[in-house]
Amino acid sequence: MSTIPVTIDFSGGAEFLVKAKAQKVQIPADSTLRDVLKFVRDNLVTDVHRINMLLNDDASEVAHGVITLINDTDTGLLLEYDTVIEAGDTITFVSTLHGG
Amino acid sequence: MEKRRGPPPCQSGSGCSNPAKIRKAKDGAQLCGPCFSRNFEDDVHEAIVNNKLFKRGERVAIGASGGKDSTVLAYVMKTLNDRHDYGLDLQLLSIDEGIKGYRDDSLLAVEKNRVEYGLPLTILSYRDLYGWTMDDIVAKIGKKNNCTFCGVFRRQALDRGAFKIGATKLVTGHNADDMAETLLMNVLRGDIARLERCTNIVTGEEGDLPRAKPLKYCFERDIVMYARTNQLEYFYTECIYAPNAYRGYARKYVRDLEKVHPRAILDLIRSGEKVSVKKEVEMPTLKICERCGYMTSQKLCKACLLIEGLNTGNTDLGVRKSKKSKKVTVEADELNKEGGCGSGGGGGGCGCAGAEDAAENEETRQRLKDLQF
Ligand code: SF4
Ligand SMILES: [Zn+2]
Ligand SMILES: [Zn+2]
Repeated sequence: MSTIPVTIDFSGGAEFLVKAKAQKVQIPADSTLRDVLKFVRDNLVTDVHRINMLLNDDASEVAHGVITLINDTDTGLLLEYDTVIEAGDTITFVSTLHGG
Repeated sequence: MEKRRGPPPCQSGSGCSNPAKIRKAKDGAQLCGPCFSRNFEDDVHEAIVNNKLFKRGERVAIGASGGKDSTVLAYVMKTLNDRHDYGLDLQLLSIDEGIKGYRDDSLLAVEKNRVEYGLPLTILSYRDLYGWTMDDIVAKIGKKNNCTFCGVFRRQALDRGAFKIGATKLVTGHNADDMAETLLMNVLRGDIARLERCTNIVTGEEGDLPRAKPLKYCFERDIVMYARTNQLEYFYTECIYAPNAYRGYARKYVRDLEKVHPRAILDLIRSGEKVSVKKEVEMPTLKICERCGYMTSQKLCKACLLIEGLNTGNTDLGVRKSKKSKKVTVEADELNKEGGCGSGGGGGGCGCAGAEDAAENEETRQRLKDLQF
């Protein structure tokens, strides 16, 4: 199976739940954003007790209050979870829930 | 494979031809970064102008915690003051609760704002004002009523700080999400007095320093995206003493509502604005605290009562012991469950917006209780 390189970036407090703030990883080609969520759950999340602050139960969506960006563009302006990821993309998870 | 379809063009209507990057949570507008920033700032400007929040020449204290809301507030206030020539003298005001690993770090973020925005910064500490840090208090009373202490202390500390620097107004970073949650909590606990004023854009009565909330109509998501777009650094660690608060549930509920109906937050605020309750009880007249001179409806102000309790080991929240002490204790328990700041539960953040709510709420309860007993 061919893979593509992408960067997955966490901010706004979401970085406390994963291995590192920004990570270069290989994901399967033709992955959608929805596939990336599962990839994050299975490979990057370290704080399993608070994973619900990042993803919903079956990792089909992000937790409410988390914004997802692809190359700094809100995925709501693309095809949401069906957006196909391309090689070199930066996928960002921004938590809006931390701090005030 | 076919190339991914790009985002739609920016809809700002100002002839901008950038691709849109941000979908504004408040109204769904699809905007590029610069147009989103401008749009966000215009919203705040409109709230300021429509509500006549400030007078020219006024010195305004910005309550700064280093968190996202107050960081954005300080930046937007400075931007608008320059752009629209409000003629305000803006100053940063921070409170150091004395919480190691939390407030000391977040104060570094505020210090950065001071340098970057060129605004003077005053820091008041619980230790100096009250002789107790939150670390001391938690060591003494445990992690139970800590947020009640913290809320009462913070409220007074901000007032004192604003007075000290000669400010005639205090602005805080409360946002639309905070307000919708607070409203809901006040409904759930039947706190009518608080319900009536919790959505006011300016609060403070009877000699209280007026407090304004210029971000009242700004959504949390938009505040975060604004900070990101303008590369504002803020601090987002939770307070280590955060309770699993009631607010966490209210927050989740509001977020769920918002998901099915994005206008839910604004609708909640609008409902709050429409509530007006017949005055059935008269508020007691305010006196001056015999110990510290702060205004109070009792002999001693709330903070002095709490300090007295800490110093004498009688930590029942400083609530006056009376014949009905049983009732008083219940009330204290209740407060502990309900009160507290935005921290904890559901991962809510502490800019301690909520702690302030707890304090106000308690003050209200205290006042009402004084009338009953
Ligand atoms: S959670 Fe907020 S109110 Fe409670 S102790 Fe911490 S800073 Fe104070
Ligand atoms: Zn634009
Ligand atoms: Zn006093």
